[in-house]
Amino acid sequence: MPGIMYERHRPTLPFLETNLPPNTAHKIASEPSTHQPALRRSMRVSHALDRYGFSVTLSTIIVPSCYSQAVQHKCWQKAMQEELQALQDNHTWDLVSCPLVVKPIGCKWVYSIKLRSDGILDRYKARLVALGNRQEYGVDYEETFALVAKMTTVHTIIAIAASLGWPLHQMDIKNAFLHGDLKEDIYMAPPPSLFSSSTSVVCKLKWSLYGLKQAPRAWFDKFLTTCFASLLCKANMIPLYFFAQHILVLFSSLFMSMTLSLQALILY
Amino acid sequence: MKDLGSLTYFLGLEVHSSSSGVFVHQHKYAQDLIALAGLQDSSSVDTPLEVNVKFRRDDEDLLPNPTLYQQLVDSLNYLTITRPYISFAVQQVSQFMQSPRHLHLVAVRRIIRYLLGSSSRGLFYPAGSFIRLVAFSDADWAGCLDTRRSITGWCMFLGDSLIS
Repeated sequence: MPGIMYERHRPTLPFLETNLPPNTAHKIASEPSTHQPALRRSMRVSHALDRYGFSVTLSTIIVPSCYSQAVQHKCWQKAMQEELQALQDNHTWDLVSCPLVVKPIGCKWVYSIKLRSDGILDRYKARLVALGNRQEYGVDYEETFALVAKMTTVHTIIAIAASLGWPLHQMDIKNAFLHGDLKEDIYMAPPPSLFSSSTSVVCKLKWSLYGLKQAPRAWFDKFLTTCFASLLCKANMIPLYFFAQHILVLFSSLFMSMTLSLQALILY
Repeated sequence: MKDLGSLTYFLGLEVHSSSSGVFVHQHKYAQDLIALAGLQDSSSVDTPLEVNVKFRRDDEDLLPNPTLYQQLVDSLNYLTITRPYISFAVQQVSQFMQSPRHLHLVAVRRIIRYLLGSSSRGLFYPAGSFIRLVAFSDADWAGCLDTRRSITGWCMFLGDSLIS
């Protein structure tokens, strides 16, 4: 008596079926299908990890988990339209026909609700993320490490600022990860709402997108080079101590579910 | 890019600047934590830990649901940013994150009751202090009853301001 049989489903590729010689296709079809084991799925109820913060329970609004759910509602359609518009304005990708050797990575819509500090609904938010788990090391990405601030750094900067009487300023960069430069050529399948019928056109990414493995690093590189470029041209004209004041750039990132909000704190 | 003006609220830290220096505290975060533990109406205590109490891995019964314990201890860990003096107490309870027991939860609730009386305390960075790095550290000998390992503590000052 054999034990439980595992079965791995391969995606059915249209060209595979047509390219098969007729006798093999017949052979597969004529194989006796005596025992069809049921797929075993995990019984665990999946939920967000709520150890790290105070989770807000929203009983009245249901956040959709996939595109087919969201597309039925006006509010989410509008949010997706806004995000697509922002990506197109930013010229995040070029539409090209897919090269034969490349298998494009997928993408996914992630939905969330933004609340104001008093708990009132602020806006519906939809974000298009690339499926970074389909990226291959050495082909689609290489180094992924990105620097983040330690709390000791925050303490040190506040201590120095207090001691020398510097003012502290704060700023927020919207869609920070969309500004990173990509060194690799990454092809992504177009989002489901972009074309009504299936096409062979894919998106070749020009800027990094949320979800890519190298997105934090690409953004950090961009941030650092931009800062240094603007500081160095200032430092040519003014005494060195001014440069020393500017060079203390604190950079920190906050992971909040799939959305990444980035805040940079710069001393002027 | 959005300019948020001068620094007031950053990653849960509330920052107040004045001519004498910068004061950083986590009052709102502490209040949220107390509300999460449901201890708003309890009485406050003067110390975060009982004197001469050592905790062990297998004291008493396991908690049926460890999530709240883990949530509270992680939040306390974040609170040590502006309150380094509860670090030792938090270190004691965070050893049992894997399998918390009733006695450990009692210790956590005591730390939170201590915060209740002192939720607006924080760190002060004085203006005009001389920038010089000073560090202190201390260790006990085989302080942990389960593993007989030592516990180390340290603090670092930049001038008169605590940074680590």
